[in-house]
Amino acid sequence: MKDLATRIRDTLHRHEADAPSFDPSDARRTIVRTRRRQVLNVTAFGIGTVAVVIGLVAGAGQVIRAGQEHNVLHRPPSVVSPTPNEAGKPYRVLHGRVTFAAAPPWDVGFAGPWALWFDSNYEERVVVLTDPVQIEAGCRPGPAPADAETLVQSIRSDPDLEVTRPVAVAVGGVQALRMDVAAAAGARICATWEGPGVVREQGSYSPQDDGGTSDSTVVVGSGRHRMRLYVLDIPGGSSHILAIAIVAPEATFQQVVRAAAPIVDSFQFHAA
Amino acid sequence: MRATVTADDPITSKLEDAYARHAPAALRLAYFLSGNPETARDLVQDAFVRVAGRFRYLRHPDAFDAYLRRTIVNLHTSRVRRLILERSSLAKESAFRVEVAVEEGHEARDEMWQAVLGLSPRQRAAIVLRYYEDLSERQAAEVMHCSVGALNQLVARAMANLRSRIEEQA
Repeated sequence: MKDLATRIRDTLHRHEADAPSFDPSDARRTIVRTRRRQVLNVTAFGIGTVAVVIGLVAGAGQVIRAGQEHNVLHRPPSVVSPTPNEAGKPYRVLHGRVTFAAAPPWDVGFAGPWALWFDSNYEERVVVLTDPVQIEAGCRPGPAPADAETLVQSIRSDPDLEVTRPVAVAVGGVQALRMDVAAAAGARICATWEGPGVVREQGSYSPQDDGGTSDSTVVVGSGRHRMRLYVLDIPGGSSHILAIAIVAPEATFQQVVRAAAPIVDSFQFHAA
Repeated sequence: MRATVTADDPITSKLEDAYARHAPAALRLAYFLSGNPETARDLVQDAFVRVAGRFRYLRHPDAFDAYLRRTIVNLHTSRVRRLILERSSLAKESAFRVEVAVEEGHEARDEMWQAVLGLSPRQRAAIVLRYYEDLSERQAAEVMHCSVGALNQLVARAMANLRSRIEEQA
């Protein structure tokens, strides 16, 4: 083994002279490449450092936001009054003399009279009627009432309806009468309305429209629906009457009334 | 991304000093590993660029030699592996048998030199580091990036190969 090792050493040392010698031109080329490599490494290090810092800042921001969201989730609910912008979409009636607003999920189901459906469910709706008339026996519209109180009396006298005692309330600062209406036992059913009609907009009736599917007639379905009705005289010396009807199935009536409260509260009356 | 090299640049003059100091020994090592002068020049240049390109190696001048030596061995091993892959791919395509163990262009002056060049790259590196560079087992193992036991195995197999080749030639 020792002889072999010595032979290897001798051979390698003998071939030292065959190895390439130091060349200054090689050196210059190598130094230029090295400097470029240094610049590249420094640049890459700088970019990497900036990326790490950005990542750390972004990560810290996410942690802080997550903490804030956690706190929000565990904060007790606060009472928030909606601002005018949050109150919902504005509506104008009688050329702007009456305005109100409704926020989602309330939305217009059909136009004239204003009918707002709750979450696209036509059975749960708020209908705003101007100059309404009562639906009399035979499912035909009655005469135009002189004022809101006259209309309320005629509705209360309808044997097909069960009407609670009217309560005086304020709507948009104007005195109104509020009552709940339902179909009486054995009430006459008006054709396809599936219940007795209560009110409809004056002038929107035609003889061919014998209670069919006219949307301007507000009906309480026989034994299945209930209506909260507000009736008032529009202020400003005019003879206009306004009716606000909230209609819903018995099962969801209270819930829908609560959901419609912001709409009722949003009514405002303006000078002509 | 263009580096300007001027004589007044202190980093450049430091690099020039380092290259002038380390290049001769590095060229010999690279030549013994590759058996080819041109390949040796390329290996040393590439290794120097890699090592000196990182400022931290320049900050440890005592360790620079070891870093450079290790990089030359690694580059040579990688290069031979790449050549083997390329040539075996060519051999499959051309259906010719290609000898890749011995570098082309070397001068076969004697049997032992021929036998050393016929060793595998890692066995040749182990032999050169131990019997030419006169590194200790631990130092040679560090350069080879392996354990002392693995280095001794490499050396033992290289010696056995060399002995059998010499006997065959005799």
